[in-house]
Amino acid sequence: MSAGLVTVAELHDAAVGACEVVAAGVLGASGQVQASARDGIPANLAGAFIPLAGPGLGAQFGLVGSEDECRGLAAALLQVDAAEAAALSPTDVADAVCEVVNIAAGHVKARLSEAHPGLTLGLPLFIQGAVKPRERMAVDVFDVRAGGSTFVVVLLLQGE
Amino acid sequence: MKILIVDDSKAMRSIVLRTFRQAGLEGHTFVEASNGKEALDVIRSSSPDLVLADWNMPEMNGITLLETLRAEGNATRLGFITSESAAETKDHALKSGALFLLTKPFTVDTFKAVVAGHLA
Repeated sequence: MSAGLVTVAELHDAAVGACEVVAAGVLGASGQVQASARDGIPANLAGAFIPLAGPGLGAQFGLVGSEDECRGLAAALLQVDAAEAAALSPTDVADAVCEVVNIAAGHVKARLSEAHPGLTLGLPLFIQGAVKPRERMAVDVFDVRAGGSTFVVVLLLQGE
Repeated sequence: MKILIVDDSKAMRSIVLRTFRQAGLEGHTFVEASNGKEALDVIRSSSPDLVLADWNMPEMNGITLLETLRAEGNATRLGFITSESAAETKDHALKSGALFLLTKPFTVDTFKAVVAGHLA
């Protein structure tokens, strides 16, 4: 089966769908996820990226935000209260955010797999700082608001 | 039962442990490993009754862990708890001898429905 290239629009739609799963299943947010376009990748960010690759796709899927937003994501995943969240170590926050991005990316892959079989997920990596996409990479960035949480989705798609 | 939880995420290992409690599935002994290679050592040395493994992990992933066990003639029961949910992945898991593939995120009810039947 020739899958063809995954387009930015396909990846975007799959990412929004995956964020809805994360919002409901991890953040406990009912109702629709609000995804709004954003200009450029935040300059000072913290968050996790995971590679998604295969026939027709070489991409990075990232969830990033402020350190407080990352701590909020970790707290939601771990179901801890504010005091316990404040006590989470940076390593625990990074581990939890990596797991959230791993969960989301699994659902991105599942949404793409019927039309694009053979995709594989890599391992998530937590970063702090700036991301500089390579030339010829397509970049799609959007804010996600779900319940009381906000974060930024960064999609980096390798060009032909 | 002795249950081995294999996941490279400390957060997810703690969530699985918490979900056992929330589901009322108590009275078990838990052992943890952070990748398939560590898990293989634990399985060979202490023979857990059930393994709950992630799919994507460093060193050795979950499906390689399962295939290695079966190639050795080791029939330790293993189910996947993973973010992987594509049909081709589920198919691969079940054909390789996995009991189930439970997709993250999961609810307490879903976890109980999938896992409880394998705790006897």
